[in-house]
Amino acid sequence: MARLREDARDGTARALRVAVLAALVLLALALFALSRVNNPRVERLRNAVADALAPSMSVVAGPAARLAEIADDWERFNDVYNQNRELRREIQRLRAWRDAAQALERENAQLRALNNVRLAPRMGFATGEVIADSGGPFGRSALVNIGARDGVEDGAAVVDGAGLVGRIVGVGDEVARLLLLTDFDSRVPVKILPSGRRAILTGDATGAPRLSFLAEAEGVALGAQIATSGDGGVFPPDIPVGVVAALGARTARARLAADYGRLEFVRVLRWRRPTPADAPGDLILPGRGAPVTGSVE
Amino acid sequence: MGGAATLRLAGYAAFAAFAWLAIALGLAPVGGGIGALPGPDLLFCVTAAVAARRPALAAAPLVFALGLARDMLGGGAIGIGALALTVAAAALRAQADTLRRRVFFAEWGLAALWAAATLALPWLLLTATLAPAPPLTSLAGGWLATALAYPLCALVLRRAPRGAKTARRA
Repeated sequence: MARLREDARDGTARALRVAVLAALVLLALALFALSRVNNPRVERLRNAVADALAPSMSVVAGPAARLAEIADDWERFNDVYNQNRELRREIQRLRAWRDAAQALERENAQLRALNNVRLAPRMGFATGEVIADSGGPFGRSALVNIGARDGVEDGAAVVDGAGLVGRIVGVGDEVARLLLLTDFDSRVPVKILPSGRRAILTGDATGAPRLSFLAEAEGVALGAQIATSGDGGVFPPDIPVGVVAALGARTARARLAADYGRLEFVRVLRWRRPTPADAPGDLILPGRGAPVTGSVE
Repeated sequence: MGGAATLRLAGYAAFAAFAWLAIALGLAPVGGGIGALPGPDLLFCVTAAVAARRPALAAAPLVFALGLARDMLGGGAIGIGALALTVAAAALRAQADTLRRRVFFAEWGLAALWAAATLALPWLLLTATLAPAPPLTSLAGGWLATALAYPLCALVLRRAPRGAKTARRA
């Protein structure tokens, strides 16, 4: 009798487990469907979760980054002599560039003075630290420890010291999600210098994103600089993106300027598209966000 | 609250703590960069080891919550990572009694098989919904890293405090 009762209890427990599993599978599929259609509630939930869990992520990310740094330093230690020689050469080259830049700056200042030009700073930025990356093969994104309270807005361009890194796709109070240029969902309008040919930089989870919609390769050479075109008004124009790395008959690829291997600190740009005042109503500007923590010209 | 219930709660807490550490380590920006070797799926390793050795602790809602937290923090489509992890944990749980009687290599092989499934299932779902998905070949590196990391995770969890040992059959 007791055995029968125990069997019945086991059967009920198994049925309950199967029911719970089925419910979880359905919930997962529903969440997947909602996230595929970019449901705003799911995005808000994701940002709230990121806000809540980010502090504990930092606790682990900090020591892990230090350990990685130590391993990195140890690797470089063996190569220090060659590095030193290379750095000396680099300093020589940079000195020449510095002199040229100073001469250009003086000339630029003189020309501005002659034209009586006033430049209004339209761009601000907030600097943040990368506290997590996507860590999986299905996406290329990162979490940054600055959010809405620092004035970060959805869609803002993100740069490191060398060039464009990606854009903000989700903003919590204290963290923001950064979609890297290499992600499948990343599309950025760019121009190839000096010809100015337009293309769309399309991420495909490789280190060298594709240059889509490049109408013709004429005037485009290997090593040509790529910068944001500003088309669409999401990104400011002329942010360095990289160089043309491969040029085939059907496809071209870019090598990114941003150093994805050492993505530690990034700058989220706050930029407003210049609004021409064509009508009296246009003079009323949209409300300003949080105060700017830094500014560039 | 009885002693068994307390032990079981402690076991859940220990599993959640290890899993959280695995999530945080997996997402830590430690200079992986593009072109770097893919890292192992530590959350899968921890979950699979617990499901195979302490099946009572790998409760489906807890595993699902952990997978969902990783999905939310990691970016990309929400839910598919949690789904794959929950299904894999349930399958390993169901095999736990059989695995206990076999050598470790059997457990390792089964874990490696389900590690492949946790990569294939999201890929299939993304492809079926016409979402861009990485080529299957690019997932092989991650799978290999996960399969190689599993014994290490299993060893660490074996050495971990066994507060939940008595809750195994609860």
